[in-house]
Amino acid sequence: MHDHLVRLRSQREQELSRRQFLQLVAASGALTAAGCQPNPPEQILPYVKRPLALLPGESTSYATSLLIDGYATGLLVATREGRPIKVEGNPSHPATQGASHIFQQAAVLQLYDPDRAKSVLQRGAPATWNALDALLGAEREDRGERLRVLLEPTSSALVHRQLAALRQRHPRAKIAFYAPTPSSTPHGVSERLFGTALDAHYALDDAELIVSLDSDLLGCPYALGYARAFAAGRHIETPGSTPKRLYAIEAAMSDTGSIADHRLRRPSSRVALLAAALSGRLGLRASALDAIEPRLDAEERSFLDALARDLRARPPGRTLIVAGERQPPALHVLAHSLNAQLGNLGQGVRFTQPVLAQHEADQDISGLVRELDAGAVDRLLIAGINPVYDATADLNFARALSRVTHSIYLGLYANETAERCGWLAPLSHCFETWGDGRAYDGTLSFTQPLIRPLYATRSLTEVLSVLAGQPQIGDRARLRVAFGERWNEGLTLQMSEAERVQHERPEVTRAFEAALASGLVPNTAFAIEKPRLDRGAAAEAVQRIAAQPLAAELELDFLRSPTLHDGRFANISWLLELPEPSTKLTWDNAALMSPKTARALGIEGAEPNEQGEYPLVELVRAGRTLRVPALCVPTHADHSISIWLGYGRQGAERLASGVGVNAYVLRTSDAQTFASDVRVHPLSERQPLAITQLHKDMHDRPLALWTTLAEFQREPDFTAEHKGPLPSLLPNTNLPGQQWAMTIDLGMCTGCSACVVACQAENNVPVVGKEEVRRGRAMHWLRIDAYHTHDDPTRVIHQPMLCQHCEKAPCEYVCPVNATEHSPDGLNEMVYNRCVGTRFCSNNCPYKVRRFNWYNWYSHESANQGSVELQRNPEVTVRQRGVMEKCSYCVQRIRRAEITARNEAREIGPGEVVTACQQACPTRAIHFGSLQHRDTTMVRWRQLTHSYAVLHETGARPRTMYLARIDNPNPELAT
Amino acid sequence: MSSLYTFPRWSDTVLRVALLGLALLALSAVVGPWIYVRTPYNQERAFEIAQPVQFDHRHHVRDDGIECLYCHSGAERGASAGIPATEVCMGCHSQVWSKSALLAPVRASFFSDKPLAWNRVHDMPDFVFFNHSVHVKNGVQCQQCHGDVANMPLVHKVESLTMGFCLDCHQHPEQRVPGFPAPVEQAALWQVRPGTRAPDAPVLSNSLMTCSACHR
Repeated sequence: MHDHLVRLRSQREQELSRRQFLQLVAASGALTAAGCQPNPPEQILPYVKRPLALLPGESTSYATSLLIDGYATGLLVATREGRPIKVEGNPSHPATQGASHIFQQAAVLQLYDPDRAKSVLQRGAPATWNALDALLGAEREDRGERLRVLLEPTSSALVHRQLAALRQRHPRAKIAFYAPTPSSTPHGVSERLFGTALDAHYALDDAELIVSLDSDLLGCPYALGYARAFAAGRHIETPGSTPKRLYAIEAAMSDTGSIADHRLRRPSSRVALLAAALSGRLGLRASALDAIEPRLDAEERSFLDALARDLRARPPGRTLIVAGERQPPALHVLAHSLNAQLGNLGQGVRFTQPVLAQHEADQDISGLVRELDAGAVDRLLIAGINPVYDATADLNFARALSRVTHSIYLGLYANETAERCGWLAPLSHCFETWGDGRAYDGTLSFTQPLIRPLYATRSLTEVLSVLAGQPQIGDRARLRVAFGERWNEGLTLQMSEAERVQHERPEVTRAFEAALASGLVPNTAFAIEKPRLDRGAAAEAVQRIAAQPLAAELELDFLRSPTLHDGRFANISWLLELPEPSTKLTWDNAALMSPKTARALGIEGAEPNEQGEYPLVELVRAGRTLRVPALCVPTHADHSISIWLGYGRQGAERLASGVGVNAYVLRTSDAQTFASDVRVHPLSERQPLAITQLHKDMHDRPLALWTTLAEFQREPDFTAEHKGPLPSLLPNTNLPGQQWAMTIDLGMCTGCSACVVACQAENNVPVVGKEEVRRGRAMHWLRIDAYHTHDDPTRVIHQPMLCQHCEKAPCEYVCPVNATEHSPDGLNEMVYNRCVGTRFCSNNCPYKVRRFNWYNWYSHESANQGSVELQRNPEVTVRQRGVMEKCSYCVQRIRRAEITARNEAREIGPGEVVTACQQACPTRAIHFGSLQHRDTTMVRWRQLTHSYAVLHETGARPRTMYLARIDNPNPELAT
Repeated sequence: MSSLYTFPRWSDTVLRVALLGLALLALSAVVGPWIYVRTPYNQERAFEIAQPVQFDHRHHVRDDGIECLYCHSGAERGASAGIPATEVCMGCHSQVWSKSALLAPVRASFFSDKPLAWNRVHDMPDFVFFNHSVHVKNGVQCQQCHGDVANMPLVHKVESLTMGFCLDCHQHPEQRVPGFPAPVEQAALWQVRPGTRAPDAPVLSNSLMTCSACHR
């Protein structure tokens, strides 16, 4: 009784008194009244002289290209009032065919990165370009003996011309190319096979069977045509279709592995061994093969037996064996020899002149470091790369750098290397400069500036031209002079501008202007070489593979981060928050391992605890240790741990610093991509990780339908129960006019996430930060769910999930204020101004695609502030706190197209509206359009027997339909 | 003695007047704002907005007969009608009135490459996405929203430009826009065209009356 009274009294004390209540009412009323202000007066500032091509309020796209790993990718960049705001693939580019990857999509945010280097600094103090020019351009007595240049491999002819001029002026200067992670075939492979440096290209169109040996061919950020060609041959129309078959052997799940029909999980060091065993099965005779066979286990043997039979059963030239760039040269030699044996040389595998021309280097980075250590260098220019952070640990680049008298860093950021260099010279972004590059097939592509340099920056060619003592005529003029050479126009850099204009031939100028407008010079892909293969190379490669020691009990794999690349994109908030395709991890890297490996290592509770914290482990290698959270992924190979590079940055990039750990410190020159001598100590501490999808098991629910070709042939209408009419109490929704809809082929989706970033860029989707991602508040309108089946957790299916625009949308009838409504053209609309934030809609959404603004993310989260605000799309509202938002099917693009059509007094045509996700998709898995346009791919796909609607039984009648993924496994291996 | 406990007679009147006053007060609390938001004052229609240059539309449009689109050229081609660039002004005024003191700010802008800062008269909220071209091309006259600018010494807002104003026209454009086909005629138009549209469907874009037509 007494307790009860006490409880009552304490309750009373917590309640509001009448006085307090009235105070609150008065205060809030006063605030409301004070908050009601009329619109602040606005001003309009028109141009003084309006540029002819620019109409205020309209966006204009320009063709340009962006160099990724040194290779050009063709882009169209939309600008508004002179601001680049959105990147899209250039559909008329023959190599990249309109596709783009996350790095291209995010490049526009990097342009506006507030942390970019903005002015010349000497030892941290402000300096001028003139002072730096005097240092770089000075005459040298020593013919360049003590001058060194270190830059990343590039296909830019303009850069190579400057380097040639530099060599002419300073004949004894040395130039080195350096990339922290390999991005193409290792050096020396084609030299061994053909006696000359050549690049391998894969023509996936005709290949019926593709074997990926630890290669992420379909996730390549620059060779985007590969994914497109593969996906085209992967799409299934009828049970009679004959899709390509893909085998993959790899350790960690890659984009390629996720779409493979057969994926063998094996440590990276074992891949070469398996390839050697495969070559034996394909008829290669080598004594070393006998030593290899006993090292295989039963699963490997049956896999290789079936694969070899499958390969032999195909007609010559219709198969393809692709070795990953992370693998040693011996495997590449072997893979090409096998291709030759299968008749693929000149068919699926073609060789051309090397695009990157790395063989022009005078030394490699270790040679440079030796000279630096010896004090033999007085001037070193480092451009664009970050060797202090990412060079192998045994090189100790930072120490070597301190021995140089004048070290100059030219880069986008004041990163780790810049901090240890005497000079920081700010580099212009690719979207601020004139330049050129070659696509992976050799197509000459042009870069043109979309905006003047935001800061006092210069391009690499400008800085190199100072070093080479060339006249400063600007990159555009340099490009023009170089272009004229093919026509023997006779322009030189030394001419005055007037002289150049005099010498310019009009037809060349026209061709140049046309090339700039289209972003490329047509028909400049490299010719296909017909090299003679050294047949002895294969046996030698097998010999070398067999000589390798037995794989250790545990292996450490260094992987390029799927979202941050090698760390150069580490300060881009979109990419930091982009869920990694298979683990869905954001804002961190982790030690990825299979549950079996975790158990073997004695890692207690590799599952997260209630706070979402993961156990830490200590990785020890080559005398260095690294504490990193362990993340169990069933898709990972046993006896192996993978860790992404590119994290743990310590430069002046504010977003990147403190995110994840730097795995480069464990790398040594003899083990750059994987290492066997690693020890792992489980620790008792834990660390939270922000993972957007914690549960990946479908539990036999029909979410992402996934079957095999044989099953599909047996039961062609297996999706029948997931589509078709359902009884409903709601009114009929058979509406006239354009009816927008989307179809997505799950069989083509590699999970690459280009669509996610494209959506973020187009729709002003904010970044929320690690803590809020952990609270489940990530704002992506389009997410990619990664599922596995209940029976087999080692394979993954990706399902892009966005607002399904249900015809009988469950969100609409629970909204108390009609903030979400249906439009007559079939869109589920979100009216931000009406939304009061009850979140009923999100509760009632079966697909969980609605996102709530828990804060005003644009003022709450610093990553959304500063100069990145210049990127915002003016066509889309920037949402406030307290409102719900979700995918709008890019309604701004639909209305744009409608207005254009109406202005031209016609109906909107098929293919006129392209959503941001659809445009970005490298595999063309997403199709959008109107149901009225019956001849389009989008509508045809919906009528295929294996189309279905997710959660059809709810009766929501989603407008987004999916095609079930149908694998084409080898019947011999089917379980 | 009863007078001690009885109110005087007039107190009834006071009570009645007070009750009526209270009722009126309650009513005006509702009706007052209802009227207020519709006043030209609140809709900012009552004010002529001062501009950095004493630009007179009467002279340019009425006297000289210059078309609206000569200066506001974006109205036909894009979302924004646009204020003319200084060089458009100077196109004529480098020849006529080239020494006028009234045009000093224009010349200053042209030669210093600094834009003139005009004060906005028609200020749509940022969550409204209005496109001029689709209205101009479909027969909406400038005057229908902007009033008779040709007779304004200083431009002021004439129409409220509230959502109601927009929807009045979007609902029945044939009543407002001369020559705009009525729904019946539109249906007939589409019948002769070999389209896929049902003959009874209105020709107007589906999206004319939907939220995302203006709010995205």
